[in-house]
Amino acid sequence: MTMTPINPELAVAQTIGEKPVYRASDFDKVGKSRPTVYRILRQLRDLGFAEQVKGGYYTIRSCLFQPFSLWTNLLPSLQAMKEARYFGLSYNENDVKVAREILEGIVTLDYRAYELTQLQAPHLFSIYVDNTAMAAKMLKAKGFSEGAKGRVAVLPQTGRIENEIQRVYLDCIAYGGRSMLDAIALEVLHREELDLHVRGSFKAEDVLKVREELAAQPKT
Amino acid sequence: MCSRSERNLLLNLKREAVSITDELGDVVFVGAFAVNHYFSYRTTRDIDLVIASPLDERKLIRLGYSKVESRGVTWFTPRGVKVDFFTRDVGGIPVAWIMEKSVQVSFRNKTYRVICLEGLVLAKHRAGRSSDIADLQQLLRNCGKEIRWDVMKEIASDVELNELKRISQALSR
Repeated sequence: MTMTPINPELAVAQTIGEKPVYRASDFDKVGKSRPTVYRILRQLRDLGFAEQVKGGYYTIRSCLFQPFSLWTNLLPSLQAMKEARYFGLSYNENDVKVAREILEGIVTLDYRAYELTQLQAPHLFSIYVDNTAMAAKMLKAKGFSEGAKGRVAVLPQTGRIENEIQRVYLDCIAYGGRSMLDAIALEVLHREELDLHVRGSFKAEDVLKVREELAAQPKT
Repeated sequence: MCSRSERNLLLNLKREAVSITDELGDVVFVGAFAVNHYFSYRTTRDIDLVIASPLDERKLIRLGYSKVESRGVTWFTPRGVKVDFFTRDVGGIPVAWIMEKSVQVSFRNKTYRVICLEGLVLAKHRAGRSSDIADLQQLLRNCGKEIRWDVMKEIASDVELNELKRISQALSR
């Protein structure tokens, strides 16, 4: 699978600051003209950093604000998430149980992070499969429907997965939001298994929160 | 394997919410645990709550709560769950308003209270960290149409109100 090369000019988008949604006009300060803004937005969408929602609004993944040097490492994860297909049957945790029985692949994000860190309750079951069309067919044969709200995400295997924990770590950074806390927990608990030269940049308050959470083991 | 993990962790937190309510009385739960009342989502193992009266440390210790002092004060319930107390406001929203507008939740013949949707949305909006922005996006995607804007107006500035309406329109399904 070929990845879209990263234009270094895109790094300027990091200056827009984190918000729940953006308008194209929010990018005016990073582009000299409106055509430039739309070109930047199109490239961010192609890479998987941005997504267009309703009424000309965009959402931006928080990993956009990671060091530019890390972006190349995040591309396989972003590409996979962009091409993810979502499925639901009962739209509760039982769907995960059923999907686990049907699908073979590499589990990542929420569920794998929970197995490795026990930090946060998982929600979305994400799994890399060799053939997404075949996986979709198998899920649909068991009654699953495809749509945006499903709790089972089937991801194409993008890039080489040589170090599974490293990939989960990068997936968590790329997914952003609460998964960023999982990435921090992976770095705290599985430091030796991660590539020393490929590390995310995290806010001190988030790192302290995760460290406190991991240290606070319930008695029961 | 963790097929029951989400259910277990949330069930434990709900049991904990009931126990804390039994022990401390007038409390309202906020944060990620409250988000899970409105739709199924992710949560860590800690629990954030608003308490109406000033924190009575001697009472807490008598009830089996424990305090750890390092980089501020951290409290643990008698069951070992980390708990953060808010006694004045949550993101500038007064405790009295949060108590008044709270929503009662039934759990196994017991009850506890969580912050109302409007208070939760505004608190997440004001917090502004990556995880709060993600929580806010999910709240508005799943529950944006249920927000009572007249209630929101009681606590939000005009700028915040307009911004939240705009975000909600962009994200709600």
